[in-house]
Amino acid sequence: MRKHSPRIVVTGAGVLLPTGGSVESLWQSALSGTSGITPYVSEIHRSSWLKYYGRVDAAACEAARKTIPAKLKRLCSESTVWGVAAAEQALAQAGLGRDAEQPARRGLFAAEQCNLYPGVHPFKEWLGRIDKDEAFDLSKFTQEALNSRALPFVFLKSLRNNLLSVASSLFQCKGDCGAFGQDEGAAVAALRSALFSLRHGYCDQALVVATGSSDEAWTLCELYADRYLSESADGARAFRPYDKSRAGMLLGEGAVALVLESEDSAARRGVEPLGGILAVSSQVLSPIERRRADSTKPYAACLARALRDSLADPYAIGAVCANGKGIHQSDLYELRNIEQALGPRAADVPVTCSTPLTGVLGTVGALADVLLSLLIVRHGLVPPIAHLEDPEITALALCRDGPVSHAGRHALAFNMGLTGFHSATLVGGF
Amino acid sequence: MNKGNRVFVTGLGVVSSLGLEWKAFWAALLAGRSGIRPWAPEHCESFPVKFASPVDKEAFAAAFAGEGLFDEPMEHRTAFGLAAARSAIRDAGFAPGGEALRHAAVVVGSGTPERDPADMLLALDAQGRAIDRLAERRAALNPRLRQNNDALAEMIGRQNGCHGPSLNVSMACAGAAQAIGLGLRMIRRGEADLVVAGGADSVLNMATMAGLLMLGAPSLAENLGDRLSTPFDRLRSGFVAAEGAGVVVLESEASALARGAVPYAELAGFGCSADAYRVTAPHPGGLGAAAAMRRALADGGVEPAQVGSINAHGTSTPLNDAIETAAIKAVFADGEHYRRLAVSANKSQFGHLIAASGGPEFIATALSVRDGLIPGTLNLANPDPVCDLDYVAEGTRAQAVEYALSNSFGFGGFNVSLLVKRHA
Repeated sequence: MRKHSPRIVVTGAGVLLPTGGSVESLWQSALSGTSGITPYVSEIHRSSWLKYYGRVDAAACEAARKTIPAKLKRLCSESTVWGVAAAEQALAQAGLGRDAEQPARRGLFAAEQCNLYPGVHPFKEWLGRIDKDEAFDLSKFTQEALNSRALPFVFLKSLRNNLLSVASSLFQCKGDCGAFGQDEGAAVAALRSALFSLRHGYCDQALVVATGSSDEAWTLCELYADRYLSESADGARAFRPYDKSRAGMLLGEGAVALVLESEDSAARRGVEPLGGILAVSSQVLSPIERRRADSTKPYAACLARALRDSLADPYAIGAVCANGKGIHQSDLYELRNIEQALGPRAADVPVTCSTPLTGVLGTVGALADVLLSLLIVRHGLVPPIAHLEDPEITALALCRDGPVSHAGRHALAFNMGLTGFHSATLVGGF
Repeated sequence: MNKGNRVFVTGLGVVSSLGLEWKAFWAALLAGRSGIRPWAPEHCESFPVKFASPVDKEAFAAAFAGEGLFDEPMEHRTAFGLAAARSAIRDAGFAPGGEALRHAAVVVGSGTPERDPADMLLALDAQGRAIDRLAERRAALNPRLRQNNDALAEMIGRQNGCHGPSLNVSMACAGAAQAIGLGLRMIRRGEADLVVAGGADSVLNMATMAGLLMLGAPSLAENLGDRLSTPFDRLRSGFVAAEGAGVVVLESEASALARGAVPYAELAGFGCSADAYRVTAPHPGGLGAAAAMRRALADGGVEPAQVGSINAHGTSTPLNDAIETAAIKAVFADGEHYRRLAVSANKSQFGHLIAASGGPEFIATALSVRDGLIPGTLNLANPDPVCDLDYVAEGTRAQAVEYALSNSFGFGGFNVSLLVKRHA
């Protein structure tokens, strides 16, 4: 940690994920290797190749929706509702619930990867009033669209700051703020901005929320066309990141929220921190540079930067929470990167991964992995990688068969996108 | 309360209806030209919005043909952003892909994805729910739909060899300004010496414009022609939608001095806030807007009395202009300093670039303090009693300014203010 920077700790966490609607459910699923991925069922789509998906529980969604005032509810995308639910939990744990004093200097940093709007399905809803037998007339469609009361709300949901708008109003966050998009990079950007804001004293507490879904026709088709998705009929067990038999990824959806504040602020308020965020570092590489990854070492570069910023001891890193998409080349690339980053400790630092539990969550995954890393340090246990039987690389201590002890003060969350984004977030004690 | 490295603006890139590089853009602004012209979405002449401020696509393609920026299919906003970023990088004296950019960060704001109804209709299956056929037909559809549309920052980074942090901001009309402000923080804290920052957007498609229309945002007037954008005027009736991008290179003082760069201006402060009031309307008292301006001033360690001009958000909507005026009066109440402020709204000339708007307006602010020239607010013919500041209605004014603010307020209740200082 830079000498003049206050230490930033997490004092509240909340989730709404395929593994359940609480942080404890995520942790227990991780320890037992129980996946929340289920057969793909949708009121919107059906597909012969999309068989499994990490869906947020419908009842939990409905319960979350009921906590939002009616006037706001109609403006919320589904993923915003999930984000609100996660934020509510996190704020309550931090002692900053809706009944608490509302500070004007509470920051809000949102990462949204909701591909649902503007998607094919909302367009179909707009078209509902048009006679399908008639030849299509764009002018008529326009008039129908303009006459539709749903249209402005669809537009509002299409804005990538839908969660920021709703949550700032609902939780009275009037301080420093930001909303970010860009897949895995969005949550890292939100987290990074929250750290900036707290360290500079621009806000007193920062609520960081990531939410998103990939359950949209175009998004699914593009991932399918790129051969990223697993078509296996072998259920969730077929999703095996880092296993030699891996055959593509399964997707998921949900939300994760963290409340951050300075260590001094938490102590003053009498709130016990879940752990600290020491540093966040990221790097973008082009596809060509990724192919030269042996020389570029993006995870190693991110880790080096995080260590430099935090002045942390690399030997205090006791676990790695990695990204694990289950895509053949992507996993191989990531494992080699982890190996390079950990160097001589590669065989000793246990590596885990949460995607077999939830599906690949995009931007939400980056924050979920930060949370899981905090839980690893707090509980002193590194959960196994679910479904991992025959590891692709044996030089790494990929966890399987059951939890192992976590021996360090810190844990490291690595994340990477399919288009060149890489990040390292260092968490734990100071 | 200036807390770290000083930050200079050393490169400018603009894509707008007023020009495809900053010199043409600035000349057009000073000359009082308008980029607003008749407009209708493709295949939909009956659309109620009749005017917009579009980029000349042919000239744009020709201007950047040699850069190799558009090899893959992309949305308009992405193309504009890539072009403006490349311009800014070259303007700052850097070679794209060069070693000097290796650790540069990219922070940009962009808006809602572009969706063409005709393309979306093709994507719909007659059976309604099956997406298998969509996957089979995708090759025949508009490839722009296939892009990850929220990754402008990443694309700028990849194309120019900027391997530092990459942030894609989504804060509606405050997006570009927020991005520039985050760039300031990164450099101050030593996270980067160079940041490519700004925004890009294009809402000139039927789907997005229809959404904006239903929110009552754009003007439907047909009788004013290219004088349709009338910020602070009593008869203002909504904004004129525009498209384009504004991107700058921000650089630490040490980096700029070491390579002998001549800064356009210093970025001295950044303030942002959330109204936490309503998703669909700003706080009626302008509390959030005032908070953002106060925070920017405090961030730069500057007293309100030191500010000489404000590049207003000035959208030409009834709500914004009255509320922004009230907010300015509240922040600059001491000694009625607001009476001595020159408040100018560039949107009267090039319309509202939505998520990108803060980019060109920040560039105009930087050039304004550099040159001592404040572009006027055009079309202000009918004074509004609630908008009673000095809006530079007579046209470009020669006035030396040490500090200026650039305001951007986003739909959903987000407010950003950037403090610009003249570089001595």
